[in-house]
Amino acid sequence: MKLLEGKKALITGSRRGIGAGIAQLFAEHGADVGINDVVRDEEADKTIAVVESLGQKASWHLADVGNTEDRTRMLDEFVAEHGRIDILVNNAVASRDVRFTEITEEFWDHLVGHGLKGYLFLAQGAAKRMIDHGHGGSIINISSIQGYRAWPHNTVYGVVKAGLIRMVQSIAHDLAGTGITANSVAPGYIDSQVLSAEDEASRGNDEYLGSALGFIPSRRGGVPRDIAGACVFLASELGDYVNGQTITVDGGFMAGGVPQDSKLWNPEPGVTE
Amino acid sequence: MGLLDGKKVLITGARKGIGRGIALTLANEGADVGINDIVDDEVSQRAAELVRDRGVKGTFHAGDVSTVAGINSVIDSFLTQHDQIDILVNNAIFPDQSRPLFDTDEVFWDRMMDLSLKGYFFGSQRAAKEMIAQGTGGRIICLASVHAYVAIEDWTAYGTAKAGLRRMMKGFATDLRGHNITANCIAPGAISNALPDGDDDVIDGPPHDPSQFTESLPSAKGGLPSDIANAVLYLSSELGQYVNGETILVDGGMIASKKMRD
Repeated sequence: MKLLEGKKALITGSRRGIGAGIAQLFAEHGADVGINDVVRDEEADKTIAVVESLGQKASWHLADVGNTEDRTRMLDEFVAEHGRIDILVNNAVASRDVRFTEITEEFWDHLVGHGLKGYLFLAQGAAKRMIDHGHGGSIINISSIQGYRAWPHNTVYGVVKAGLIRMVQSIAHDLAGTGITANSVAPGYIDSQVLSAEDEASRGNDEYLGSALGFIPSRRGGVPRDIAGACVFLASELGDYVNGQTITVDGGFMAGGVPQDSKLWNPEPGVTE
Repeated sequence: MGLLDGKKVLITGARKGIGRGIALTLANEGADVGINDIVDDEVSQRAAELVRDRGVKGTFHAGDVSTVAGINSVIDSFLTQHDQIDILVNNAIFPDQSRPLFDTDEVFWDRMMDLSLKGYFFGSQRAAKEMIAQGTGGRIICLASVHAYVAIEDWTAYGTAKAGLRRMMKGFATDLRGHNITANCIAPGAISNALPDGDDDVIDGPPHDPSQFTESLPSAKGGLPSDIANAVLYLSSELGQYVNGETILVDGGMIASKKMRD
């Protein structure tokens, strides 16, 4: 059953990783896809080839979502190529760990400029074009479980990802009646490294997850296809009445408090201090 | 090819409304469906017949799922017909769930908690035992509500039960680690669950009058049983296999915005 037949979807940061996974599953479900990234390389070529091998159209958009002119040009190029935009997936952003006392204004501006400002103005530009076309649409932000809680040295990234959860509530609210829905997906531990076919079986294994595995009820790391599944749900007829919402896709990581193997809350029966 | 070919699904309270919508939607995707309800009448039998019309197995299992004995008899009956259980959808609720605070007596409170918390807990526990014994993994889905998130006048007992379900599914997700079983809730908003007039071989009846939502809901319309059923389908299918311990709101943006409650 194809769920996105004939849809036109722009996915930012999709040359590899989660973005590429979304591009592939969208194409499997019959969507034409715009691939965006800041470099065109072998990985980008491969993602484009995968979409085309599934019989769908793939357009390429070299653009930095942190740059105002790039954003407008990318949206214009995409609509020129595909006739309209039905789905925007805001996915592009890269970060690194920085200690709180070492966060610089430059680092803040870069991450917020891409991960919040870039997402907001791409959503705004896509929404305008969706409204002009008059057939509604779907806007999806890729947030993170880091938008819910603190991890070491992730203040700015966490603030950006928390902001996206709040952002879609307002986009949904302010676009009431247009037929456009706005939602986020919050991935947990997702193993998005590119692996050879032989190594695919080891994806999401203990080595990648390390101590995190004990926190994950589903007992495996996530893969890009898991995040893509949530995006297909939200962008298709199936998720038509889901609006302003964030779906956590983390194998149950956020459901629990302490590692499941921890004895902290489970002392030996009969033992009292 | 359907998204749920060959899966065995039990849905509680599925004689009418949202439950019936879930039954027909999952049947459309190739699942065999057991329909439970406390009422066994022509409407119940017709719901099972509509499932069978879709080329899959459709069975009816009468029973009160607010007691452990009732739950066990329903699941036993289901297993006799289907041999195994892959998906349990806890959906049963009695009508007239709203009750002003000072009219909420012990009888009403116990009835609410017995069906919505105790019944859902022991139904999920039994289903999980079967899934583990089968070694097949599975899906447990509870119907929560927007009332689990915010207070709307005269819904305190119902909202308390529904809020409990959100935590309950986190607990099931955590405690069933390693068994390939996911446990999640779906929280519907304003859903029209009227049965269609005349032709009943459809999932959705007439929608709510949209004029009451154009000013108040981001999606500017009420929801339908198919909207809830589609979320169940997502969680039940491969698409949603890494969603665990989560509650998905299907409310047209009601909880995202403050507008509704003005």
